Amino acid sequence: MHQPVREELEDYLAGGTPPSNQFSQHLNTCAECAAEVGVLREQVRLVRALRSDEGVEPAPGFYARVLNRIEQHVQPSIWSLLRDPSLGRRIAVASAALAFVVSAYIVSTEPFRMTPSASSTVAIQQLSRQDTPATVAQDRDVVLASLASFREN
Amino acid sequence: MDGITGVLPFPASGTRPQAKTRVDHRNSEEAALVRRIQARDEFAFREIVERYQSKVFSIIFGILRNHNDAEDIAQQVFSKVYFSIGNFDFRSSLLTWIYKITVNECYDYLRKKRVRKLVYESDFSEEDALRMENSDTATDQHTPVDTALAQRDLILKLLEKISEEDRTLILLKEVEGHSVEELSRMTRMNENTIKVKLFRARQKLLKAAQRLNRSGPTQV
Repeated sequence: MHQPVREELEDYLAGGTPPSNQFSQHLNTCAECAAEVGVLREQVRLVRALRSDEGVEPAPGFYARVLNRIEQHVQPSIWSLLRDPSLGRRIAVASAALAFVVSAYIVSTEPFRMTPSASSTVAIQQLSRQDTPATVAQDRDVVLASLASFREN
Repeated sequence: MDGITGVLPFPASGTRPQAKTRVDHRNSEEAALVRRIQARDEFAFREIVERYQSKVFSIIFGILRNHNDAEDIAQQVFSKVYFSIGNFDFRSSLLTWIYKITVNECYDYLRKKRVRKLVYESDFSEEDALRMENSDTATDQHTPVDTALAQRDLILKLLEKISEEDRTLILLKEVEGHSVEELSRMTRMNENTIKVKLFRARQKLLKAAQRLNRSGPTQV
């Protein structure tokens, strides 16, 4: 398309201001530009057929429906998941069960400590340092003494 | 003594030529509204929806000619506006941005649902056919509905072949009826750039039509 036509093409296709003499004369003398302008006018007609009719509106309550659509797309956060009744309950029960199991394990594996009182500890240590083998009676006394003075921690 | 009129003359009668000023999309009233939406102000979002719902709806209806589809896509458009408003950079007017989203959603819908075929099937209601027959957009009153449908289908197909930017520009010019000057303000491109882009977009549509013609006969 030649320059005299290109310059005024949009104004011509818009149909507002009449084309200049230069434009009209060029179209009269240049078959190529005249053909191309003709095709473009038809193209414009087809595109303008996409114009909507007057008075086309969405049904009442459109904004509420838009909000619904938005809410459907909102990604759930971890807190909203916990607030969900069914899922939240399951997570709570699972957490409680896990806590119970862990506590039971810790309690069962912790060693049972016995701390006898200080005086009986000394007596037991003295007895154990003796070179002479303890008589059965002495052994019995040691055991009785330790049992009598036993204090659980 | 002229009194006050001698000291302060009245302004000259007649319209003052308006200076061509580029609209600053960052500092307009609408920009303030956009910033409120970006801050998740629901009232501001509602205002935008109510301001543009009719325009968006009519754009979609113009392309798809189906009320139910137009409603569905219009909801999708504003949902997208809500989630994407953080990406709006004020380089164009808000309407231009929303228009682009609207047209793109229409074309996404057309691609997914293959509506071009459905136009000839039962989805096109009798009401829609009557509306098309009585439409003012038909320049030839003797154009039968099926020819008008074929032509509309063709132009939609051709518009799909060009870029998003070109498509938006052509539609804003021809469907919405904006002048080159208005497009320049809306897009912040100068008028010569707009003219060049429009010319190239039209040429691309012509080339797309020629390719389509080579691949099969087209009835226009």
